[in-house]
Amino acid sequence: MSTDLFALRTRWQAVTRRGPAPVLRIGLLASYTVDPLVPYLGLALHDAGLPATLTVGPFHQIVQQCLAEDGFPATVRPDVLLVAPRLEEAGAAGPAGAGWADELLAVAEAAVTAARRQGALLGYVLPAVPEARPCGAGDPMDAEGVTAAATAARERLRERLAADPGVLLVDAEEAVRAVGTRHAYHPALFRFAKIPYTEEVFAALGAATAGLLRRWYGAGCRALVLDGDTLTDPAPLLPALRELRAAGLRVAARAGADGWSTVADPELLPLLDGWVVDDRPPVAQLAEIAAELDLAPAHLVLLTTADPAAVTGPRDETTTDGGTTVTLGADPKAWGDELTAAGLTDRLPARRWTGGTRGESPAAGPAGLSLADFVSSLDVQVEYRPVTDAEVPQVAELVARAHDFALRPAPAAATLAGRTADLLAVRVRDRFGDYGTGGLVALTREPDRWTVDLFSLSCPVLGKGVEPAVLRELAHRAGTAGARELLVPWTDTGRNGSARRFLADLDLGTDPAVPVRAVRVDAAEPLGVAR
Amino acid sequence: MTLTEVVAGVLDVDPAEVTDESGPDDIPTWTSLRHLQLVVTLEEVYGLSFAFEEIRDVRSVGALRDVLRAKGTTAA
Repeated sequence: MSTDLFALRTRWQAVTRRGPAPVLRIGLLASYTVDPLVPYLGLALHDAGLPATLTVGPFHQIVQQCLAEDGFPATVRPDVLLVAPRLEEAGAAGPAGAGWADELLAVAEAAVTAARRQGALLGYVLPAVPEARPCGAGDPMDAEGVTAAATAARERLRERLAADPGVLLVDAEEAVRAVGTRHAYHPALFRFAKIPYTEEVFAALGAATAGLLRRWYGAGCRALVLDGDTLTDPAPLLPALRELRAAGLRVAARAGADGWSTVADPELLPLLDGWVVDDRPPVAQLAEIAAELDLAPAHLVLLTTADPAAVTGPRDETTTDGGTTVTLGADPKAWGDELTAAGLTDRLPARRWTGGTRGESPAAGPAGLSLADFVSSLDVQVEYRPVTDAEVPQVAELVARAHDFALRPAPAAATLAGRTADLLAVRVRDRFGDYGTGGLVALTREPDRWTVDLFSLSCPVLGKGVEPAVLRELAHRAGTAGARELLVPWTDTGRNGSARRFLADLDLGTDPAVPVRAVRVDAAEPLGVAR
Repeated sequence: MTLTEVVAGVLDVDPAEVTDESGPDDIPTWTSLRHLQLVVTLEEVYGLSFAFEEIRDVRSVGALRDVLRAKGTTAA
């Protein structure tokens, strides 16, 4: 597995360096760090003839970004908006999973609305059943247990979204199952970067998502091409080939000039809709087969036991013909099962929009939710406390990671250690949970003016109204101390987009106790220099 | 696969640019996210695991090499 996934990621880097012009824009919003999905989804789409640009939005802000007029979907204007919430970030499960269901239905409604507004297809990732189960092995016996609650919430979501013709459903639980729970989680990834799954899970999720998108865009498999040079005895494949033909798939074969005996196998020949046996390169043969069957090259799947590059030649990452490959293992006895498991006849079900069957009341349901309503419903509580010398390493690490909301490049821990009297730690809680220390402020207090030298917030607390709440509190404290202004100098670090947008159009909601003035400076002075 | 090959592959840089002194300060693509991907890839490739403290504290290729050698990996 390991080196295979590493090779895929390396190929994706090559594709992004030299790849073809994208035909799809895909925006990803998740309640967690979803960046590891990008190479696997991007590469699978590239290989399917659907090269895409993939952009990841702010994490854990799905509803806010979808509801805001200038949110992520409006900015990226994706062809496909992929939304991936987790139950672990959806608050309390509630009776029979009702709490989870309500939260994720709100996410779904916001995402559907945002996707429709942008004319985008919505890909909704059904959340996996949480792995943390208080009763452990006893969870299956608990009618209010994690599995029962998650299953109920997932079915509410499926019921709402499955029939919507503008929605594709992907299932994170299937990806976890495919990998196995022992290999699906890596504690360090979540602890340090809020990445809940291993690369294997993201690879499975990327493949499943790309498979659905292929079918949505009509690039699914229509014909299977046997590589006669490597499948010299096709007998083990015949039962599976008959089933695939019965399911509507066409079957063809290619071989070099010496491969006629394979193609002419008396049991295989009646199953073939076409064949090419000559000295031309396989790529040219496949193109002829596609033309003969009146299909696009993207509709062909080559069946081989060899490294695909050895059959069709090295990949040229500047182009994509869309054809894909199923590589069978060394044991012919397993070929039939491997071919069946490749999912070549997977298809999108016929759907008739019913609008869901539960009929959420507009007053009580999430359909009419506004951004202000949502933020207000979070019941955000912000607390401030001094920072002790012992806490400096922890807050320095927070500041070092808070790239998106920061006034300046992160200062060294030693710099913060010299200013502990000026520091305020920001603790944030909302109805989803306690985020602990989610921000840090450093102040220079002068009689007439307080200056915010440092204001950094971690990603999990952004988009909840914490940003203006902190500045209002600082303005209040400055006014109480007799100052007449709160100054917020900031610089463009190249990565602090959230802070830049917030400060460039400063809106604190209500009038602060003293005027708050955000001033952009070309280069922030080093922290610790007296003003 | 050598440590240099893994570092270059994960961070998308020329292997010739990778030295034992290389770290987040001189390789722009060595972000906190890529740092984790680097560690996870090394775990996958060499079949070992890093402790939380090791993940947090290793800040250069040389430090990674030391950790890998301490775990008995000769390929590093």
